Amino acid sequence: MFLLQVNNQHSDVSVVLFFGTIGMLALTIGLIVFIIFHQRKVIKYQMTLQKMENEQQKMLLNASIRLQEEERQRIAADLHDDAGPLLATARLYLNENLVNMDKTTQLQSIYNAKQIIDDTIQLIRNISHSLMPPTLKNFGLESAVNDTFQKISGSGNLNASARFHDYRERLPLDNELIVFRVIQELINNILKHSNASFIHLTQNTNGNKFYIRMHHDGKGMTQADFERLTKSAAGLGLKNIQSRLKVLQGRIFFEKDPSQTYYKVTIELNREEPQ
Amino acid sequence: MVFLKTLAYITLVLPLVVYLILNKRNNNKPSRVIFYYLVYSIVHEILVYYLTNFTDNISDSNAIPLLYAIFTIIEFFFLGYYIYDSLKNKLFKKVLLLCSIIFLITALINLFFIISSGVNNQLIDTIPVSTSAILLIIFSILYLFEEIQAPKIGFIYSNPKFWIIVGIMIYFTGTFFFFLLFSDLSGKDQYNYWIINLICIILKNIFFTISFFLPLENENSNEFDSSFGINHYNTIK
Repeated sequence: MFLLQVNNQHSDVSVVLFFGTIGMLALTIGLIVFIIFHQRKVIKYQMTLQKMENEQQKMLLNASIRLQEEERQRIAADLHDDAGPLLATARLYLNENLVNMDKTTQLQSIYNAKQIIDDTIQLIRNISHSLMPPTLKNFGLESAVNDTFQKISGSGNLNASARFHDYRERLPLDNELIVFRVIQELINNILKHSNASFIHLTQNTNGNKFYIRMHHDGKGMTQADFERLTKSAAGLGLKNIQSRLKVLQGRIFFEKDPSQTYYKVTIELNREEPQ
Repeated sequence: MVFLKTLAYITLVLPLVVYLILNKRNNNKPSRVIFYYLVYSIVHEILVYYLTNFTDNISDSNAIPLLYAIFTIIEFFFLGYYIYDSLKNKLFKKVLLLCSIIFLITALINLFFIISSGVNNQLIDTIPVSTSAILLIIFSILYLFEEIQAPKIGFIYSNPKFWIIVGIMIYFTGTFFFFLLFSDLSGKDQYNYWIINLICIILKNIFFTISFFLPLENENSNEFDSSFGINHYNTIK
């Protein structure tokens, strides 16, 4: 209707103008609509991703709290079940000493009380060592790992060996403790579930990356298993490993050796630059 | 046509009224640029109206083409500055700046010819208007491209800048062919097709009004914490 009003002499120009304008507007509106929908899609995706991240954070936090509670209960049980009765017995011996005036009996009861107090000291020392291994504190990760592996090998069931290739410069103590706990947790898992006949640990560095690799010949797990277990309600120990490594901004990889004979676990950390 | 003209005048005032009512909300540099642009548009319309209706022998003078030529340059710089201020990418900013300088040079040369010719029968000079339209469309696309690149929580249409850009794009894409072919149209066609310009002006002003209604979002708070969100998610696999 509108086009009909236009002068015939300029009909070609009018057609170009009419369709050109409609085309340009259609393109612009199409572009704007596309951008709106695309952005909505991206936002929805990001929100899902963030929700998943939050859920995982929550799971890790729960695992960490549960682990802390378990540790507290273990310490409480050790103190209550072992240290408590020992000290009570020592107290009995000392009471006996007050009642009984016989010199020989008195000496005997003092000796017994001393023995019991020595045992209690040892017990408390053990508890304290389990909280912070003295070898780790005084001599570092390498010695602590070697010490643990010697104890495991000493049992005779499994051959455990460790080799640190480049550990002249120690990690900060807090980081060493975290790495040590992760190694302990991995060893625990191997001992509990894998039926392995050997564990071999190696340490390497590459640039500012710090690597710890563990091989064993038992029944192991792959990265997919690890991810599945850390996202499920089970796998408290694995969640604990994950949350500990998160503190160090580290990563862990579980894989089967290409030869299909061994399982390999690699811990990767960023080495802090010396200030 | 008279109805559309009246509507175009009303919608020209509408964003200004909203701006002044919601002055606190719109008290920021980008909104002020658009406000000044709208004020200038009204002044321009009044001048054109005055020269057309109350001046003798106006068709023999080059006053109105000169006004339109100046309007094209100033409009380009208002809207160009708005987009320049909204862009974050330095390369895009440099491209915008370079294009603006080239446009300024060509537009000034064109302006010089209009002044020196003394009499000009052509109301709108198609080349600077079309060049300005193409450049502003490209700048708007750059802005939208940049917007979809940055991860944000807020939807793009809740951003007042988006509506200004939509207004600019709709206006310049809608009138592009009209101004490009303006000199090829007969006087009657020019009058008939002026309706395209009026509709696009109305749409642009409506979008500008929507923009002044929306509060300017806090750009820091609406961005995803990607350092924790995505990167951190990849840290432990």
